[in-house]
Amino acid sequence: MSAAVFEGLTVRYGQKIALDALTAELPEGCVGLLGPNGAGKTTLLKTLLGFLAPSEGTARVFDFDLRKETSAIRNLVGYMPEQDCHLPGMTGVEFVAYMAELSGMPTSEAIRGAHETLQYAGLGEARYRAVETYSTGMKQRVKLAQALVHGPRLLLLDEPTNGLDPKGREDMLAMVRRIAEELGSSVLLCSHLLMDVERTCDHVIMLNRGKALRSGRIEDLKKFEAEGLDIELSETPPELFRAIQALGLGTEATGKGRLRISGIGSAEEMAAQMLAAAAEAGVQVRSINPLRRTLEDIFMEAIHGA
Amino acid sequence: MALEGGIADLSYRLYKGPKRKRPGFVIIAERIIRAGLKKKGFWAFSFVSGWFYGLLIGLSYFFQQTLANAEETPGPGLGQAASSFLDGIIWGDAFVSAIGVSQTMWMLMALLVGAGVIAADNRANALPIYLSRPITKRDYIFGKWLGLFTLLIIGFSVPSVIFLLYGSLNLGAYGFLTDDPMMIPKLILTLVASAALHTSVLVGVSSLFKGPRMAGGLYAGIYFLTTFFSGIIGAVRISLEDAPRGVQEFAELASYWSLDGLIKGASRAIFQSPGQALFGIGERGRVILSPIPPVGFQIFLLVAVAAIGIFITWRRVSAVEVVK
Repeated sequence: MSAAVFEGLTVRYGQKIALDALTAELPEGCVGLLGPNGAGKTTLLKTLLGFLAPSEGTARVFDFDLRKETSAIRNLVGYMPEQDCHLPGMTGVEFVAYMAELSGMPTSEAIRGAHETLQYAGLGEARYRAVETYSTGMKQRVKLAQALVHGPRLLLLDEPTNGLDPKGREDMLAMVRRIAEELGSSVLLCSHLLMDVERTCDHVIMLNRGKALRSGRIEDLKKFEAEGLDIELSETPPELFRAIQALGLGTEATGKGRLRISGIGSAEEMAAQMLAAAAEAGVQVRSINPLRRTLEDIFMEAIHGA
Repeated sequence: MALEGGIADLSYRLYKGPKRKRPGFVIIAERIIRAGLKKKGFWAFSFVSGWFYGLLIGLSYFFQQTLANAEETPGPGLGQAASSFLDGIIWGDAFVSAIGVSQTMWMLMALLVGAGVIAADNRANALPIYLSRPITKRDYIFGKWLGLFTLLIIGFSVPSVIFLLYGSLNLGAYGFLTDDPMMIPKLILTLVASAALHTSVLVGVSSLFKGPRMAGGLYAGIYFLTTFFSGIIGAVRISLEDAPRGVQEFAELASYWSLDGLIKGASRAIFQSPGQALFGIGERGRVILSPIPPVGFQIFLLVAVAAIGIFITWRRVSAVEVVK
C-alpha cells in the first residue's frame, strides 16, 4: 500500500503555480523529496497537511481523500517543520506532552509518551529544561519528538538537518533511518541535501518547478540502462581498444588510463572479458568498478533534462 | 536506542493506544488558563482592581462599628451620620462604580495574560505545528479565546465575589441583595460582557503581530486613546446644555465610544444605574456622569467591536504565510 498518491495535483499561490499537475506515488518506507529551493517541496508537505487547498487534481493519504478527510489524515501524520517552532516558556516534556494531547492522546498517556519519545530522541535529562535554552541540535530533536509522539504512520520531515553540525547531522539521519526501519513509520524526508537523502532513503521523488521529474527506488535510478564498468589501467594502447571492440563491448575514454565499458552481458562477465583482453595486451588493470551513477548525477540529469 | 533486558522490554514503540474525543479547543484553553493563573501579576492586578470594594468594605465596617457604639451611648452625631451613610448606599450604584474604576487594572491584567496569546505563537512559528494536529483553525481560535476569557472572568470576578460574600454576611440589614434580587445575574452579565470584549479585541490585536510587546503596545494605545477622546467628548457634553437635543444625545452616546466606555456603558445599562461619583457625593456628583445609554444600542456596540476583533483573528490565523 502506498502512503500517498497524487494525481494531477495543482496548488497555486495567487497567480504563481507552486505544484504543477503533480503525479507521483509515495511508497511506504523512507522516501526523499528532493529539489532545488522553490521546487515545491514544502508546498507539497503543506498540501498534505491540508494547509493549502489544491486547485486541481486529487491526493490520497493512506486512502483518505485530502480534500474531504483532512482531520483523519492529520491523525496519521506527524510534521516536523523546517523552522524553529517551540512554544516559549515550556520545558521539552511540557511541549511534547501538549502536542501529544492536541493529537488526541489522553493526558496521562501524553505525558508518558512525551518522556519516552524525548528519551528516544536523545534528549535525556534536557527534557526538563525550557526549550528556548536548547542548542540548535536539541531543538531539532524536540521538533522530531513532537512529530513522533502520537505514533504517526507517516512522518513529514522538512529539512531535519538544517543548522546541525556534522555529528548532529549524522545522529539525526541515523534516527530518521531507525524510525523507518524499526518503528515502521513511513518517512517523507524533504531536503535539498542529496547526501542526506541518498544515505537515508530507499525511494526518491525529484521535484522542480512544481513537477515530479523522476521518482522511484534510488538503487534502480542509479543503474544505467545498460550494464557497464569503470576501469583504471596503467596505459591504453590501441590494441587493447581493438580487442575490446572485438568482444562487442562499447568503450569510452574518461581520462588518462581510464575507460568506461558498456555491453549487454552482466558486469561480472564483462569484467572477466576485460581482464582477459588486458592480459593479452600486456596492460596492468588497477581497478574495476561497476558503473553506478550518484544521486547527484541523476538529479542534475533530471534538472537539465527538464 | 532500544534497551533489551530480562526484566522488562524498554524499547521504544510508536503509540497505538486510544485517541480521545476531548475537543482541541479545551486543551488549548486549559493551557492558557494554567499559564495565566501562575502569573503573580495577574493576581496583583485582580486584587488592586477591587480597591473600590475594599474602601466600601472599610467604610461600611467603620460606620457599622460607629453605629454599634452609638447605640450604647445614644444621641445625635456620628451615629446619625453612620446610619445615613449605610442606609443611603444604592448597591447597584456601588457595583457600577466599582466596575468603572477597575477599568485600567482590567486592561493591564488583560495585557499581561493576553498580549501574547497568538502573537507568541506567531513569533515562535507555532501555528503550523498546532494546525498539523487533528484540530481546526476554529478550534485554535476558540481555544485561545476561551482560555483568555476564562482567565479574565476569574480575574475580574475575584474582588466582586469577595465583596458579595462580605455584603451577604454583614450588610443584609441595609438592603444588600434584597433591594435588587437580580443583582447577581446583572453582575455576572456585566463581567461576562467585559471579559468578552477585552478577550475579543485582544485576541484580534495579538493575531496582528509577531510578538507580545507590539501587540500589547497597540492594545494599550487603543485603550488609552479611545478613553482620552471619549473622555473629551464626555467633558464637552457637560457644557452643551444649550445645544440642540440631537447634539447632546450624540455627545452622550459618543462619550461611551472607547473600550473603557463600552464596559462602563454596558454596566450602567445592565444595572440601570448611572453609578455614583466617588463615594456617593450625591446628586450633585451625578451631573458629571453621562446618562445611562440605551441598553440595546450599547450591547450592539459591544458585540460589534468584539466581532471585529474575532473577524481580524480569523483573517490573520493561517498555517501558511502567503507572500503575494
